[in-house]
Amino acid sequence: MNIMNALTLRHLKLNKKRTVVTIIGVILSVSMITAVPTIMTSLLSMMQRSVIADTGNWHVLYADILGQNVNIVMNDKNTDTAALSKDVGYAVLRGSKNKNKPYLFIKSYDEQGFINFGLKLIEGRFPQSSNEIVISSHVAENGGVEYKVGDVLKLDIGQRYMVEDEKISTLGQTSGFKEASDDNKGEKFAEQFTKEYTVTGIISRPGFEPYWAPGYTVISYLEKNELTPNDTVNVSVAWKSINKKANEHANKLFESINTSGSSSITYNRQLLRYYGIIGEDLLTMLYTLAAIVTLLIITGSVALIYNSFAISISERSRHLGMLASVGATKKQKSRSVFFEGFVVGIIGIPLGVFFGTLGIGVTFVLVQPLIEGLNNTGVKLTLVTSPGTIVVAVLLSLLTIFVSAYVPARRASKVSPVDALRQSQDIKLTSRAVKTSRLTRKIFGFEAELGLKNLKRNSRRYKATVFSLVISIVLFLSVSSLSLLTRKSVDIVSGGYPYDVRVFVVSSATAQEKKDFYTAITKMAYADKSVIEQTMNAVFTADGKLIPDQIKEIIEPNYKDIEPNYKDIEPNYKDIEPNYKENKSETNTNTFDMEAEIKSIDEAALERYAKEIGVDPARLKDTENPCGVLVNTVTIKVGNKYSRMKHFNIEQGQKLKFIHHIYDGKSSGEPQKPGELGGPGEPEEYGTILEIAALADSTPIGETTFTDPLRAVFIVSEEVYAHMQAKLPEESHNTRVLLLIKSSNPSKLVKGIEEYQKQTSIASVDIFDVAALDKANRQFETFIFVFFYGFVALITAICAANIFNTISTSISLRKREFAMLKSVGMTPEGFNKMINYESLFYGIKALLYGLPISFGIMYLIYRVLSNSFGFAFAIPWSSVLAAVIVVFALVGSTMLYASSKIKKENIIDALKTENI
Amino acid sequence: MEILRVENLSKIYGKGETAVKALNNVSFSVNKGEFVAIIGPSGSGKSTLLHILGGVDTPTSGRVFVENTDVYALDETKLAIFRRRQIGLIYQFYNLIPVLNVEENTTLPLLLDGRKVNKNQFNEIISTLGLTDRLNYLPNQLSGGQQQRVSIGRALINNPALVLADEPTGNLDSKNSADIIELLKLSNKRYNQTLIIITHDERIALQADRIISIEDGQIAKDEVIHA
Repeated sequence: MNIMNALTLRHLKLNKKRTVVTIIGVILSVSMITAVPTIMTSLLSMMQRSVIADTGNWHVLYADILGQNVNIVMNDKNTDTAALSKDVGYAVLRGSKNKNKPYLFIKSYDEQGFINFGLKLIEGRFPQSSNEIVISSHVAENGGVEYKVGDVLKLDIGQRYMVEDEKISTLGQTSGFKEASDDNKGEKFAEQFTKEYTVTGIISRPGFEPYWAPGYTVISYLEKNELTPNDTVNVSVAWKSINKKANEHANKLFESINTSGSSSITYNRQLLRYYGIIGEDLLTMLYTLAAIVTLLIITGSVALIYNSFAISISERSRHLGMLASVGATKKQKSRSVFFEGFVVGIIGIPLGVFFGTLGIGVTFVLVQPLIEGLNNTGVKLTLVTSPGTIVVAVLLSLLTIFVSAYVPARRASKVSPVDALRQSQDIKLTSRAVKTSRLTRKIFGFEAELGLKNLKRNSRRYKATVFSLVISIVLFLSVSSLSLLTRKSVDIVSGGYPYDVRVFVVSSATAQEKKDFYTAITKMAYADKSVIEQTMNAVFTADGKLIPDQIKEIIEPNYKDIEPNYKDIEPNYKDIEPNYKENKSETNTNTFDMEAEIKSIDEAALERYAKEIGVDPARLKDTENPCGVLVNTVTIKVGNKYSRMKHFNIEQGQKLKFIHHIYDGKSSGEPQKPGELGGPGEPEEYGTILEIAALADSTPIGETTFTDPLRAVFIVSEEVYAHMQAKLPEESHNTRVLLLIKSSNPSKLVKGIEEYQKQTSIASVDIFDVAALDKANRQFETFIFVFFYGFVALITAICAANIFNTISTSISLRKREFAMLKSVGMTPEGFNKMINYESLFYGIKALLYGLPISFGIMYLIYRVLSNSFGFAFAIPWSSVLAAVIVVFALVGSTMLYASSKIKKENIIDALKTENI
Repeated sequence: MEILRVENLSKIYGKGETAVKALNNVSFSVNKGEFVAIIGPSGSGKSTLLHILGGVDTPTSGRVFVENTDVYALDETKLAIFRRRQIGLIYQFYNLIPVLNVEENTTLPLLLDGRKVNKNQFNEIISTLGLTDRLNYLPNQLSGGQQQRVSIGRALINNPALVLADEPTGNLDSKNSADIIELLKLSNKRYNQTLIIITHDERIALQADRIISIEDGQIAKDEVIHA
C-alpha cells in the first residue's frame, strides 16, 4: 500500500468514532437505496402472482389453432410451457337457483392446463381422460345443485346464441345471461351432442370466470393425441423471457400458424401490464415514484457523506500540506479522499445491501396481516430480489459516495504547504460573517452571543447541519400530514353510512321470499337494529319561507351555477311545451325545486321509530290521510365544514305535494338519460300528497354524516308507501328492497347471513359490510404508512448521523478555544449556557426553514387530496410538536455528549494541543 | 502588602516509576506592585508554576493564596470567577477567541462577568496598546504583535490582582518584543499592577524588580535587583 493510502487509513483509525458513524450512515443509505428497488420488484412480483392466480400462468393465447400447428407453438424457442385448452360448450344446469346462471360451461385442459391455470382442487383429483370432469364448488354454493365425486353426469352440450338483425352470434362466458322473452329477443340454446362425464373432483371457482358469467365452470381432460390435424384448440403459452421482443416474436409466430385464417391471438394484458410490456404508464408511474424517493435518499446521504469527508479533509489539511511540501502531487492528494470513500464504501455497501434486503424481508412478514384482506387470491407479499436489483443498488451507492467525495477531493488537491501552517478555516473569517445583533447579547446574554457567533463562523458546517434537520422535518411532517388527510378522507367515506351492514337480494325472488329472508336476518344474533327499506324518488317545490337562510346560502349558488344552462335549454323546451316556462319560472329565489326520497320502513322499525319521535304509529299507517316523517336535522357541508342544522322551517301538519316524473317506463324523480328505456320522451307527471306528521332528528337507522341540501328524506309506513305507489303506473314501481342493520359485531353477523342464505332459495345476495370496508381501508393505509414512516425514520437516522459528526467535530476542533475561555474565567454554568444556546439556535434555524416549507407542502398535499374529498385543511399539530421536540433533543443531546468530555479536560492540556 | 503567597507547592505528573516532579515544595510570596521575572531552563517547571498561580492548573499538594483567598479551596465555578476577576493571563500563543473582535476579546472577562465596561479605562488601555483603529478586527486579521497586545488588554481590563505572562514575547520579533515589555512595565508603573512574567530573555528579566530562578522544580535563586 502506498504511503498516502496508509496515512488515510491511519487517520480513519485515529478518528474511530467519526469513521464508525460515517460507515453507519453509509449502511443506512445503502439499505434504503437497496430497499427501493427491492420493494418495487417484490410488489410487482406480488401483482404478477396475483394476476396469475386469477387468470392463470400464460402470456399469450393462440385461440382456435389447428391441431397440426400445435407443435410449432410448443417447440418455439420462447415457449416455456404451453397449455392446451378447448371450450366444449354449455349444458343446461337443471335446478339452478340462480336464474342468471342456468348453465354449466364445459372446458377441457391438457395436463399443463391444470397446472398453468391455477386451479385449486378442494377434493378428489383432476381428470385424466376426456370423460372425466372436475366441477366448480360454486355450482353447489351459488346454484344450489349438489354433485359428489363419483357422480356421473349426462350432459346435453351445445351453444348459446342470439339472433339480432337476422345475424346469429354465439355467446361466450363474457356475455351475461339474457333471458328469452316472448318477443323472441334474448338468447337461445342449441344442443349439439350428449356426453357422459364422471366427476373426479371439486375445484374452487376459477378466477377467470366472470361473476356475471351465465355458466358454472366445469373442466374435463383434453387428450392431445386425440386431436386431429383439423381440430381447433387454444394454446396458452407462458414465455421464457418476458419482454417486448417476445411480443413481436409471438405476433410473427401467430402469422405463421394462422393457416386456417380463423385463429386469433390474445395477450394476457393484465399480466403483461406488470411487466411493462403493455400499458407502460403503470410502470412509468412506479419508476417515477421510485426515482423521487431514491433522489431524496441520495440527497440526504450525500449531505452526510460529503460532510464527513469535508470534516476529514479540514482535519487532515495539515498532513496534506506537509505531504505537499515533500512532493505529493494534486492527484495523490485528491486520490486519498477517494480512497477514504472506497474504504467507507467497501465496508458500508455490502452491509447496507444485506441489511436493506433483510429489513424489507422482515417488514414484509410483519405487515402481511395488514394486506391479507386486500386480495382474495391469497397471494403473499414476499421478498423478491434479483442480481439486477443489487447491481442497481450498488451502482447508486457508489455514485452517492463518489458525488460526496468529489468536492472534498478537489479541495484536498488544492491544499498547499502554506495552508498547512495556518488555520485554513479561520483564515477567511470576517467580522461581518460573525456579526450578531446587539439584541442577542441584551436578551440572552454574552454566552448566547458567543454561541451564535460560533455557529456563524463555519457557515458550511452550520448549513450542512441545518439542511439535514430541515430535510428530516419536512419529510416527517409531509408524511404526517398525508397520513392525517388520508385518515380524514377514509373517515368521511366510511362515516357516510349510518348502518354497519347492508343486505340486498340480487337474484330474482318474489317479494314474499325477500321479505321472509330479510325478516329472518333481523332476528339473528348481532342484528341490533334493522330497517327494511324501499325508496321512491320525487320532486317537490319548497317555498322560500320553508328554507332557513343558512341552507339558502348554500343552495342558491347552485341555482346560479345552473342558470345559464337553463337559459340555453329554455328556447327548445318552449318550442315543445308552451306551459314549460310557466313551470320553470318558479325557479326564482322564492321557491326551490327539491328532490325527495320517500322511504318506507318495515312494521317493526316503524313502531320503534314512531316511539322515538313521539308519534302514533297508527297515524303513519293511515292511508286515508297519508302522512310521513321528515328527517329535518341533517348534517350539511358548509364551506369545508360539516355542521348539523335544521333542513326546513316546517311545522307538523303541513302538507307537501310531490311530483313524480314517469318516463314512459320506470319511475324516477330525476329525468333518465336519453336513449334509456323509451327514449327522450316527455315525462308524465303524477302527483301525490303527504302530510308531515312529525319532524325527526335522524333516519330510522341513525344519523347520516352528510346530506345533499337539495334532497329531503321522508319516512313513511309500508302502507302509505304502497298507497302512494298505487297512484303511479305499475312498471314504475321500485322493487329494490334493502335491509340496513346496525350491528355490534358485523363480521359475525355477515357470516351468519351467509350461512343462512345457503339454506334458502335466495341465490345471490349483496352484503355490504361497512366495518370490513373501513377496516380494510385502515389496514391498507397502515400498510402504506409503515413504509412512509420507515423511510422518514431512516432518513432522520442518516441526518442524525450527519449532525452528530458535524457537531462533535466542531466541538472537538474548538477544544482549545474552550480552554481559553475557561482560562479567562468562563464558569461551567457559562459553558453549559453557551452550548445550550448553540443547540437552541441550531434548532430554531432548522425550524424556521423546516416548518414553513412543511406547511407549504402540507397545503399542496391538501390541495391535491381535497379535489377528491371535501374537508378543511388541517395541520397535524401533534406531529409538529413532536418534530420540534425531536429537533431540540437531537441537537441538544449531541451537543451535550460532545461537550461533556471537553468540559472535564484540563485547561493547560487543551491549550497545549496543536491547532489542527 | 503581600498579594500572593505560595506554600509548599508540589506538582507531580504521572505515577510510580514514570512520575515526574515538575514542582518540588516551592514557597514564596509577592507584594502588591512587584514586577517579578521567573527564569529557568526548559522543563524546569516555571510554566507549571505560573499556571498554578493563575488557577488554570491544579497542584498535587500545597496552597496558593491570592489576596488571602485559598485559590484551590474554591469550587469550579468560584475558581472560574476568581480567574476572571483576579487574574490576567497572557500566553505565548495569544489564545484569542477567533469569533470575537478586538473590542470583545479585550473585554471578555467583563462580558463573562456580565459587567459594564468602564469606557474611560477601556479607551485608555486601547490607546496605550495602539489598537484604537483595530477595534472591529477579528484576531486572524491582526499581526502577531497586535494579537499579543489584545491579550495584554484582556489581562489588564479587569484590574486583576495578578497579571501572569508566559513568555509573552517568545513568538515575536525584537521590535514587537520591546514594545510588549514596555507596555507591561507601563501598567506596572502606572496602575501599580503586580506582574509575574516568565522569560528566557535576560534583557527582559533584568528590567524586573525581582528575579526568581527555577531549576528542577525548585527555587534556585530569588534575588531583588531593583528595590
